[in-house]
Amino acid sequence: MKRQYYLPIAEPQFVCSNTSTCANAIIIANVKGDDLQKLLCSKYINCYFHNDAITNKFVISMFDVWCTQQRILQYQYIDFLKETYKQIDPVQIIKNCIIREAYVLGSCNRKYIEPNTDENTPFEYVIVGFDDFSNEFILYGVNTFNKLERYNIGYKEFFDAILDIPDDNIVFTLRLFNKSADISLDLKNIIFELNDYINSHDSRNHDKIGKIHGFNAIRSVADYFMESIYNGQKIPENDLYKFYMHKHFMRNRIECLASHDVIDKKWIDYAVKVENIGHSIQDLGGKYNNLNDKALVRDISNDMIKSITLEEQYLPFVLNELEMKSIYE
Amino acid sequence: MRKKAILPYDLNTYLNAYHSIAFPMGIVMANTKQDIMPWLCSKHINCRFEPSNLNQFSSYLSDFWCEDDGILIRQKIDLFPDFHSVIYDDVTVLLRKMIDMGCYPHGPYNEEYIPGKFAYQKRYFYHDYMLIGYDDNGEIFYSVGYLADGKFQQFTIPYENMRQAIKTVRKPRIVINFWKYNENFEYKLNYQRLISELSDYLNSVNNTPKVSKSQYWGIEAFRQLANYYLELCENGIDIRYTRCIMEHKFLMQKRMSYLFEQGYLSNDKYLEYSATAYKQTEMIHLLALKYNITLRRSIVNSIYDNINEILLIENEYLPNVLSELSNNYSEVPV
Repeated sequence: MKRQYYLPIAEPQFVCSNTSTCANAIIIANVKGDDLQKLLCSKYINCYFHNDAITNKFVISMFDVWCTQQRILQYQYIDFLKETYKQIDPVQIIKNCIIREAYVLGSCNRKYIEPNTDENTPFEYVIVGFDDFSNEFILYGVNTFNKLERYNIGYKEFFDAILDIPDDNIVFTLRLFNKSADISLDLKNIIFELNDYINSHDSRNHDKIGKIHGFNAIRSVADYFMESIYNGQKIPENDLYKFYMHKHFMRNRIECLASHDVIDKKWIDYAVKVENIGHSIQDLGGKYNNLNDKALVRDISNDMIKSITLEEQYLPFVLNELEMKSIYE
Repeated sequence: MRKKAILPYDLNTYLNAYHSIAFPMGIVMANTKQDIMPWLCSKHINCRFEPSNLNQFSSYLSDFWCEDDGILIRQKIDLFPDFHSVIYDDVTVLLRKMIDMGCYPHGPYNEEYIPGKFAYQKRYFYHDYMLIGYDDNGEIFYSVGYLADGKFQQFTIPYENMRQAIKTVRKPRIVINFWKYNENFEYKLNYQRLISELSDYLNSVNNTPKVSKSQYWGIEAFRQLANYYLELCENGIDIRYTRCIMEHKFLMQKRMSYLFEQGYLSNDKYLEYSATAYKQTEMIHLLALKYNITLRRSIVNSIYDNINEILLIENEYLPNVLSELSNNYSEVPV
């Protein structure tokens, strides 16, 4: 019997690495309103600056973007050798997973998905549906222009795309939204991450070589922006965007915590001011990239310093209130 | 068409005390025509004793499925019970298909449904299995492992029992591994690992990455096991441990023979020492079986004395072995 089946996916709030973008889009499609705010409250808190990286020098930490620890998007996987898939029909497996409401994630050869590219680079996809009438899967992935895009790909072409990768194994990761998950404010993780952010530390990862974390990462971003300008280079727009998003998520977090009476509402003003600075820096950086007007340099520099000073003024108090609340609870 | 397939498996492996070591070893020994001793020489040297663990004593290494070495290639499904049918409605179809492709299915099941097992029709018992074949005519799988009689053997499991045994596992997710033998693997001596493992064993430490924590290692693990027997085995001795001691010393004897024959060691006294130690362990195993029948306290004292005698022997010769191997290190191609 021919069928069509689609799982929900939303416009992501945040386009970054493929995995976190897809996670964000799936979470937003399945979790709504206050629950969504509570869930995102413990995400994207810490950040790091990686001077040795060629692109993406500024990175927002992506700890547990799938909310696996909170059992929101449960994780399963199927890992077979390529030769096994010649005996076990992967198309039927994927369709069966979708019917059971599991998103199917994996990696294939990009040139089958984006026909305009000749690159044999990996393309990370999330399959959200299928259509037996057109014999197509509906999948999403971040394109070469850093946008989450929908693609329709024939069953046969898809099979060719997953076989045409260097790895011997083909892994399908399944993400199943847990409808009965208890979504609550994860104070423990917020405290943990915020503590690292304030103290310029990363307690989760051992691979810290060449990475500067937290407040010091923001200082390094400021230096890096200034250095780029003085050297006559453009400021990478993606880094400007991430800097703004980091401040945007912090404002959302502070509002959410205040609305649940976890912290004082007076901190919202600080978070809004910092978010506005992030927005202003994004605008100024964009203007600089277009006009190459070095007069903008001083404004960007002042704004960066101001954002750090403001965060230093209020975030330690927020952390203190969170810790008190956590002990009390 | 009804089919039958049985994959190669050697029941008489060097290491049979635990399923998790016997399963891969049986695949390796049955599938290769090469001498595995060069490879095995640097494996299963260290051992551990962890009083809080379910399996308190074992010769232990990080890669006991030989996956990191590249001998066995793993494929795996890790799914919720109701997701197993995304591949085939009936899990036994997948198991048979994979056997057809030369893969050994392995994972946890509930032995309450497995004829011949101690827990059969009595109680839930979570344990590991490995299948080596099937026969559609009798609707049975061929498996290997320990049965209620305490013998490691080949036995059969009806398809329906296998379905129930997997279906009734009380875990949120059920894992099935499918192990495939790598025909292209060449069994070579890892000299650096041999020295490092032997040094760990003698110094009662563990420097192998990816190994779970344990309280006691190496020589000290044996010493603590002897103390444990003396103090705590009023209800009987777990004969898996005495089997494990025996296999450990059997392998040490084979290791010494190989290293001597290949010219890595020059003193043939080491062969005598290791043979004597192995003989003592045979005695220990027999004493343990005897103790479980009689519960005579004097037998435990003998076991304690025997283990300590072995440690004296090893302290006599193994430091010299390590020293000779280390001195030759620069001359051996790594």
